[in-house]
Amino acid sequence: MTFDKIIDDGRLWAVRYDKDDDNVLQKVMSQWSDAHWLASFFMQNIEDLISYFKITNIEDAIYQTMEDRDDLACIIMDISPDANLDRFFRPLDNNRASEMILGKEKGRPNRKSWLRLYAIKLNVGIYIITGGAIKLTRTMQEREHTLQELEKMEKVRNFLIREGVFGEESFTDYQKEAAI
Amino acid sequence: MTQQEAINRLSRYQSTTQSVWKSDEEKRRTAKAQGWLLYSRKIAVKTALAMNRQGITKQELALRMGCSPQYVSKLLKGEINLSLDEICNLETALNISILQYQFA
Repeated sequence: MTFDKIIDDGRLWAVRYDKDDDNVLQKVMSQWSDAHWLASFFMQNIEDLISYFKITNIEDAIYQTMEDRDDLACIIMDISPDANLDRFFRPLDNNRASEMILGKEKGRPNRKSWLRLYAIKLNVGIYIITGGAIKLTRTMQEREHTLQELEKMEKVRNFLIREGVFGEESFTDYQKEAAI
Repeated sequence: MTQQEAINRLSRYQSTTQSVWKSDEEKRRTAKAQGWLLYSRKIAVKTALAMNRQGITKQELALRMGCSPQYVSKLLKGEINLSLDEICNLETALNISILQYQFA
């Protein structure tokens, strides 16, 4: 696993998994602009689309996804040096009140969107995108494709700990900072 | 660990080849600004739905159109500024109406 800088100052990264030609941000953005991939996805998940979003027309769902995808791309492309990424990424668990080491986070283009980018928070204002998904259900555990995103986050988190990118000393630093 | 230290540590694991993410987005942004992305996407969606309805793969459509599967992949992402000739070829390959519907 390697990492690609998404913005030049190094505050946003995306994982490039082994055997992949490019990073996960490129991969999901490409899928979300692919009409064929989206048509297949929504056909497979039509029941969730109807029951959670009351949308019965796959064509509408495809256009909505493409629109949200473009908004998301604009947000990322236009991140300014003084923009605070902590405002875009939020804790994955809505009930998580405290900071968590290598916390699992999510970002979306707007509150109504089913698009999600998933990330690990490396430090204050520094994030690593681990994947993305079209989330149509209330919880990620309900569907295989969102469950896989949880597994990817865990895998990246373990890599960062194992390789010492966020090692024991950082853990101690973090505890000291948290105590202040 | 400071922000810069965290960035420096992660940089040790940076990919050795360049990602195409930024250049792809810049191309898409240009296509959107020029106005044709809207139409190429509509054609892409119409094509994708017809392919699914008829059970046709990208490879099969490429064969019918006399082009490469990579070209079909780009077409389905709305990345190609199609000529009238190419749209007619696509209509014939899938037996669908794209232009006729718009000008009826």
